[in-house]
Amino acid sequence: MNTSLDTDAYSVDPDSDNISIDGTIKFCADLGVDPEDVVMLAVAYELQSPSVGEWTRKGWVDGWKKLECDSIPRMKAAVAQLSTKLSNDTDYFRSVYDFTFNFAKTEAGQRSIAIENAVAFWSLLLPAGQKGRALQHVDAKYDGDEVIYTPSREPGWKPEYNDLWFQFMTEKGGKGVSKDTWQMFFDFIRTIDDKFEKYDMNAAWPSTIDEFLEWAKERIN
Amino acid sequence: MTKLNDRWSWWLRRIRVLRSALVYLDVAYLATNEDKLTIQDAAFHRFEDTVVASTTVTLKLEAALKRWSEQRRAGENTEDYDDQLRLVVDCMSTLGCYDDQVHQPYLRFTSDHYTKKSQMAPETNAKDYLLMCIQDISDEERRGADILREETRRDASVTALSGLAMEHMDYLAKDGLAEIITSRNKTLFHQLYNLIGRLTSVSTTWKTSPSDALLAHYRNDVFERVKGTILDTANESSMVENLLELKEFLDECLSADYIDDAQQNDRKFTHATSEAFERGFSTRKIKPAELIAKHVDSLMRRGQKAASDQEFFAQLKRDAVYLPTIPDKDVFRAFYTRALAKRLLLGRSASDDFEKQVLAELSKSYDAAFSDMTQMFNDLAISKDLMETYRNTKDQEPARPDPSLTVMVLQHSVWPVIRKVSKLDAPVELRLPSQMEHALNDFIAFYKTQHSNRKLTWAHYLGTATLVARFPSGKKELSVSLYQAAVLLLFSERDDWSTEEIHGRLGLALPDLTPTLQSLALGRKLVLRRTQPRQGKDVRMDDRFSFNEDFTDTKVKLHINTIQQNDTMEETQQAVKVIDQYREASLDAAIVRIMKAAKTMKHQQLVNETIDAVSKHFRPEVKAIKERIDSLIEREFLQRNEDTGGSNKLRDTYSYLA
Repeated sequence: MNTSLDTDAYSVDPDSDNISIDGTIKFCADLGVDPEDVVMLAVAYELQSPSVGEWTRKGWVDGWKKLECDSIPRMKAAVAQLSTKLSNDTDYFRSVYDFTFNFAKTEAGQRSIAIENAVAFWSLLLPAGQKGRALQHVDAKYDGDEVIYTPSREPGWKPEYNDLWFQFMTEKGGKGVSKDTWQMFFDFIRTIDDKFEKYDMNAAWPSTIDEFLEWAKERIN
Repeated sequence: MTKLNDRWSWWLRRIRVLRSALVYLDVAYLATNEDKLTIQDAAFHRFEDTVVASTTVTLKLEAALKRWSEQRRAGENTEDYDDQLRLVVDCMSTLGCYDDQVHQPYLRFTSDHYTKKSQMAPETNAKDYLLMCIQDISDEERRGADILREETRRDASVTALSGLAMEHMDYLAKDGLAEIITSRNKTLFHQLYNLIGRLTSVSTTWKTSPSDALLAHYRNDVFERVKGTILDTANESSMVENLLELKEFLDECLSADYIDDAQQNDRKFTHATSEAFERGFSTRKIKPAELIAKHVDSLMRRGQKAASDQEFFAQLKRDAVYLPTIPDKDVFRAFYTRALAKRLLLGRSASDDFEKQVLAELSKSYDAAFSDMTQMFNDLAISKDLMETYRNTKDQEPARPDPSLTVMVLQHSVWPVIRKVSKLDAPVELRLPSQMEHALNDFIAFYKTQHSNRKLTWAHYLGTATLVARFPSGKKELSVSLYQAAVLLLFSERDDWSTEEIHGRLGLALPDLTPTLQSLALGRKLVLRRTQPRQGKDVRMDDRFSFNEDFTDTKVKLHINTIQQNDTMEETQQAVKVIDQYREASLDAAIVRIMKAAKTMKHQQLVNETIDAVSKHFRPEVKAIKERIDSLIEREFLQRNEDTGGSNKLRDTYSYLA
């Protein structure tokens, strides 16, 4: 087995096979990626990293195998691909996005993540999705219980609304962001129109998003 | 016209002569020969062709008819040519020209007249205009009864109705109705209703039929009135009375004999009333329900007075049972419970029987939870028996303390007015004079022999006492609260106490002590006095009080009211807090129960079923339900369905996590 496939190269703790913060920095340097680049979230998802700067041996080995990487150059290529996929593939974006909620937890068993923390991760993820097609505006058509999303011609969520959301969450978001709010926010920004007019207060949105809408409506129009 | 009539009479005479002469020809030949006219018919045709067909004659005739109708409408005397007109009408009838020559022109004049008259509508107030319409319409049916045929008059009446009301339908149905309700005019209400009903049948091309428009205006008018009353914060004390009075008037208007046809099950107006009241009530939360409960409370305290049992119960039923068609039924119940508890504890209720009947009625009509309150009566009955047993045991042991103690043993869960002593700042609520303390301890010892597992806590703030005071002016029996009694008894020890000393001695918290002192020394019955008199009713720690030797009162038995202002404010806040908690808990329970049975459910259905589940108690906002769903998801009672997977699924279904 190639050494770069194993965790030994980056594991600084002699008693453990796992990689921690220092190893992560070295590893990023080898890949030529900024540790704070959003693609690291995709890498973390692929290698099933339990939390920021932590990598288990099993996740590491299985992950790279799945990506068919056994050398730094192949890893570099894979990372570049992940970056494009993250920006353009909605399903993939959603998987990484949902994964990020647990990844962002600072303590095991936490039910919500701190607003500050959530905003930091949103600041990475949202622009990445907005750069490509991953978060493009969609129309929802209902077919019985099913819903079919098709790309919309109408303008939708604008990148500058991100800051509005951050401001709202910081000022009015309360203690933290629940998993439900985190996940539903993804659906929300894909389906909402740019004037926030087609929003249904009675639909299944979490009340935090209802409140945001009321709060933001005055500010965007 | 005279000329026409003369010619007609002459013509008739001639015909008669001719017919007499040629009677055989007429009967035997012409009558049997179908293509030949009788002499009379031929003669009539002749007259019609030469005279009536002449434009000059027709115009003159119309002018005469017009003048006559105008004068009649103006109430002028037309005697001079009534006879002639009658002859003309006879003539036209005989000739078969009545419809063309009389009926049609007359209706045309009628229509012109009323179209013109209807233009005054905006300048008249709607009620007067309505009265005028009613008058004119019925006048037209009678006008010219001596001359015109019945069908003409009937049609003229319809013409008047359309002329006057067609264009002003909304004016009548909206402004007219508003004025009628404002002036509480039942008769006019029915007249308007009938008029609108007739108007509806006049035309088949209404965009909105006048009957529907009237119903819509009615619903909205009542809603605005109820809303106005509910939101009128300056006149809260009369809110309930005003609403009841309005409701009563409307009910009378709608009684089965008139508008709503109970047999045909046509209850449109009754439903509109309920709907309007309900919507009106929802414009303000909590307060209306609170005021209704207080209104019933004051009725119950006042008692039936001169009214018969039946009348009084009918009033209670009307006030207590009808009005809570409010969405905030739980608020009503909370305040009602508190008020009932207070009435019972302070012995202020006029009648236990009525109390129980009203509770039965409320639990039948609204919420079975009202019947829980009957527990209170049980507690009191049990307490009464208990006191009897207690007295009997004491009679055998005369050495035991003061026997005039009455104790009511209340279950915490049943009586909403019991506040927890531990919530007060002070470690003890009130330090009683020692002989009272002994009496209570004696009772506790007795109670232990009856129920060894139960723990008694005293709620002194609900206690009352009767004291005998000897003023120089005479002996008075003072009925006071236990707080007041404790303060007053200090003055039998010595004559002068400062606020601080009283506070120190009794341990009574200042928010309780201040109103107590105010009621005794600064209220209506001044049994104490402030030693250094000054303006202002505030109580300072260094204020000193003494026994008021100059106290006089015409009565021997006196009740000294406690100052309740702050108390009720606090009670309201407390009740509202309890209601909020209750609502959250009810929603949580309802959602969990529904989801537990269904396992998975779509958002919209869950919201609807939750509203249904709690509707007997209150009407939740969707927002509140969503917040509870959020909370249940976060607490992992529910989860949003994920198993559908992919970004192309609507995530609007929840499942229950066992």
